[in-house]
Amino acid sequence: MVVLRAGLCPGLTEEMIQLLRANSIQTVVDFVASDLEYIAQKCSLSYKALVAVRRVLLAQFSAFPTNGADLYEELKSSTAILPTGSPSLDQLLDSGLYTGEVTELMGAPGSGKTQVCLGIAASVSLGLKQHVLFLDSTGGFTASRLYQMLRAQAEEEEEQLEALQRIQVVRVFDIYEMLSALQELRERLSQQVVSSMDPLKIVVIDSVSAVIYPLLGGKQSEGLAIMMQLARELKTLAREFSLAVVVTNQVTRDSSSAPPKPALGRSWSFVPSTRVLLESKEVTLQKATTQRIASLAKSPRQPVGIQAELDIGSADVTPTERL
Amino acid sequence: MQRDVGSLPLAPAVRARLVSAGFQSVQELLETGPCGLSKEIGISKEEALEVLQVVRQECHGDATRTTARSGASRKCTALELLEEEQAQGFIITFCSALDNILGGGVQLTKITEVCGAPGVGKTQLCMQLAVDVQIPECFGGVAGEAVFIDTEGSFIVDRVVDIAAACVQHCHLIAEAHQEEDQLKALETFSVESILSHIYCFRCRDYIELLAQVYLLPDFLSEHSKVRLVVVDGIAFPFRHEFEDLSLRTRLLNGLAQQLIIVANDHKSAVILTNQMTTRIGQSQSTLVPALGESWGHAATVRLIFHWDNSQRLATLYKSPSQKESTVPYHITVSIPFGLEIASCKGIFRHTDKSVNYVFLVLLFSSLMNITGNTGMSPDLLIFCTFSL
Amino acid sequence: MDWDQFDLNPKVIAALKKADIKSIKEILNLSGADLQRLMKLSSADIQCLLKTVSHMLRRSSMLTALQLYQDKDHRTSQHQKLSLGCSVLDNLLKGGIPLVGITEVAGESSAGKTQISLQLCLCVQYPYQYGGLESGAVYICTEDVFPSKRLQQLIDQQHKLRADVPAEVIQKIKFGNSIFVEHAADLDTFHNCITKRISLLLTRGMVRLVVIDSIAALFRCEFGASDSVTKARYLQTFGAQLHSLSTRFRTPIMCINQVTDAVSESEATQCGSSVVAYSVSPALGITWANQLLMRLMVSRTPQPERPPGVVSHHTGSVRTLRVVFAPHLPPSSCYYTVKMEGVKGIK
Repeated sequence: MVVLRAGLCPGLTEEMIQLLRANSIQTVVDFVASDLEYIAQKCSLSYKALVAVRRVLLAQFSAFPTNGADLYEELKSSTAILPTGSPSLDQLLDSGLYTGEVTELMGAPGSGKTQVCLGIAASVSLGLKQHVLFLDSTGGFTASRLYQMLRAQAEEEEEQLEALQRIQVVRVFDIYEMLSALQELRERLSQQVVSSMDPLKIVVIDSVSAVIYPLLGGKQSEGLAIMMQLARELKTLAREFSLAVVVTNQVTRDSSSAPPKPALGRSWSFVPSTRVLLESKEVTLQKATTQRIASLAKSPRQPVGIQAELDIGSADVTPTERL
Repeated sequence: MQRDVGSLPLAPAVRARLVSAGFQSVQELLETGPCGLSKEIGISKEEALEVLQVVRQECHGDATRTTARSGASRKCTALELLEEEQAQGFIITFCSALDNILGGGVQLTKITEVCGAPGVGKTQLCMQLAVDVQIPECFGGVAGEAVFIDTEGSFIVDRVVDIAAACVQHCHLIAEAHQEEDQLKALETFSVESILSHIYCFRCRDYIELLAQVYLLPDFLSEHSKVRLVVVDGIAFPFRHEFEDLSLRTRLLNGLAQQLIIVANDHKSAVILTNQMTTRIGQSQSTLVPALGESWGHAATVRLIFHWDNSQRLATLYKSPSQKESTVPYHITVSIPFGLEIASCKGIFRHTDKSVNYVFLVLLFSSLMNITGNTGMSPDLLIFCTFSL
Repeated sequence: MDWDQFDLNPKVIAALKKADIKSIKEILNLSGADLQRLMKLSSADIQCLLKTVSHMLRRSSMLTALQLYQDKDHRTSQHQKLSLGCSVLDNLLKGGIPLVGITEVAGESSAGKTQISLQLCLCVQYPYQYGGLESGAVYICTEDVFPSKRLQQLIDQQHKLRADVPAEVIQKIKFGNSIFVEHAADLDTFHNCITKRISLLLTRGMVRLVVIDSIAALFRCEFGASDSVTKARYLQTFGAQLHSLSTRFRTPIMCINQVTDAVSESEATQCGSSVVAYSVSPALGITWANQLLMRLMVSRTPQPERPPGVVSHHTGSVRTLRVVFAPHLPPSSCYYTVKMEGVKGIK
């Protein structure tokens, strides 16, 4: 839905636009969809000029068809698989986080979502020497914990500090701030401000439900609209700039004994292409453990339901044994 | 400039009109100008001007906006954050075991939730922290002030006076042992009166008042920039009745949590919430869980659960981004709750000179003997404390 | 609600009226985004609106702890407490019952719960300097009939119990005239009673103490084990209503509760009774315990070695009053006896 403007294509003059507008043709879509003969008659414009303009506009605005083989080639060259820092989680995700996709980690409070996020940030920044953007909406980002993880993986202090520097943290506490942070990222990426030697490969958002929850519910649907806006933004970012996007989500239960299901409802469920559920091994108040079970709830590549064990307590998120 | 019109914080009706008129990016809006805009989408010129003002502010204002928000920049690298975290210190709880599992004390810029059955010591901890936050910097404190939002009417000032007096006395003992200039100087102004006058109490009778209070907190904190601790005791009480619509409750609570995180982050203060426990009836047995439902569990960054095990009070760290989950016993004594254990002084005294520590120890030991005599605290505990120093 | 009085942009006021928003509560219940949609305003306007209404609601309620501490005005001061009419018991509770909040006395039958509350009904009528609140009391019976005979006895013996008060002061007070007795045998009557009749009495300033004897009896007959959710909701509603009455009128609420045998150790620990030796725990579970400011337990001591100094001419056996939890008190206890003239602590 682009507004017709002078200079949009050769032949489309200001005068022409005025006339079209008078006939309530304002956008490219309106123009392309209308009957040209009728317009030519009504606006007393030359039919030939109109057809020429239409041809140019169509070429400019229509999608370019590609065949599957090309797409596959392109995919191969642009897709990267990023390690999560935990071999068992990597295995669960079919060798890691894919760029161009949205991956969701969900779990109850204290199930280790933030820990896994920090682990991913540490591994990508240290192992791959890539930049990481971490959007923190719950105040859970703890640099000292991250440093602890890095220290367990790298000996050199220089290396650790560099890795820390490659992780950019933005604290966003409402949905508008989050959207504008993403917008800024898009601008930066499209203008190639990030120097070419260390491109950004991953965006971690912890947590997405914290900013959306205050808007949902009630009779008004405004919250839902904004949520879908965010969803679209994430999807396009992942696609266009081949980023891996990791988001965390809460879980809800229908009743106290029902199994957990992801929060944010049905419309959000289409957004992440991969979903991982994190759970404590045994849930008691008195005994807290560091053992976690990750199970795949949605994936385009792997069978759903497979599980892996994680230990989030030690210096970094490490595997114990595979089930 | 390529920013999507839909993501602008405009009135929804205006936004819908902009989108349906074919505007896609901010660039287009700015080029159109107020007159054109009012004509295109059929709003008054004033409204159009307002829209453009919002747009400009959003686009150019990223840098200015963050400074306008009380100077706390929200964007930084992890390294800067690490340095910040290491510099900012903790609010100590005066209980070494509790401090240990929390990684040194209650963290600034984070939300800590304390859950427990009635009478287990939640309010005690809150009052203790409201005093501890004011310990001068030369004693290892953060020299801040405290805001206490009381929803249950359990803020009893007499108790705070006791705690404050004990804390002042404690610092005096330390200063006597050290004979350091700055400590003695700091003590001149560190009195029970000054502690009390820097605890700002708010009484909220229902959840509406609590919501209003939290809306106003940022303003209050900008006026009182030394506040390093915000206590909400308790969050559960006003939200556990008169709610037929549970989704409304979830939404309000989550909104509240986000606002508190903003407060914690922008004003470099710790936020303490207390929560009640409730019984969840499971398939085989019923267990005690924190109230307000599962989604509330995400609100706090750190969650501590206090519970009884026979006659011992135990504290379990249930959730924390930086510390391992663990359980420790703690005590509430008469003079200072959570145990006047010498071990807790480890945080305050990082003295390398052993002899200074020794002098101090003897002093403290004698004062402790008094306390044990009065309260019947077990001598074992004392010996344990002495060794761990 | 008259929005015109608010210090707001006329545009916003017009929008409020148009959106048919009637109260501050409604505004705060809606999320920012919904408000924008409903009122067709930008987020900056909404921010401003929220701030303004919040200010209206909060006005200036901030007090520092020092102000609270130094407050000597007996209408607002936290130091003002309701005396129990006995210096030993008052010492245990650091002055008596706090004015704001729900205080519970739990115990087995015949442990002395009713005796304590009857005595409070009399104490509240004394002048401020003698630990009273210069007002009457309301006594809600849910189970037994009101023990009026015992009350009469206590009134007659007041001069013996309160030796600290001059006799002419005691004579001037017409004790019997300002104790109001209500009977509420089921939940609806009780609800009606606390929302309408009690609040009327409180508004008129005729009473400054509410005694409920007992809260558990209301629930014992009507609820089986399966209705725990409904029961919890009732308890929460009552707790909140009593709480708000107490706060609004600075009136202590005294609830008498029964005890049940602790089913398991864990249940006893849930309710805050720390000592394993006590095998009973107060009824109504953790939901009710959450509503309380302070919990006291009374029990008969199984005939201990008689503390020296107590003359044994009286039959009153020794009983224990124990502080289970209170924000301002350590867990502690003391002995007391029930005599002809009332409840007295033993040092």
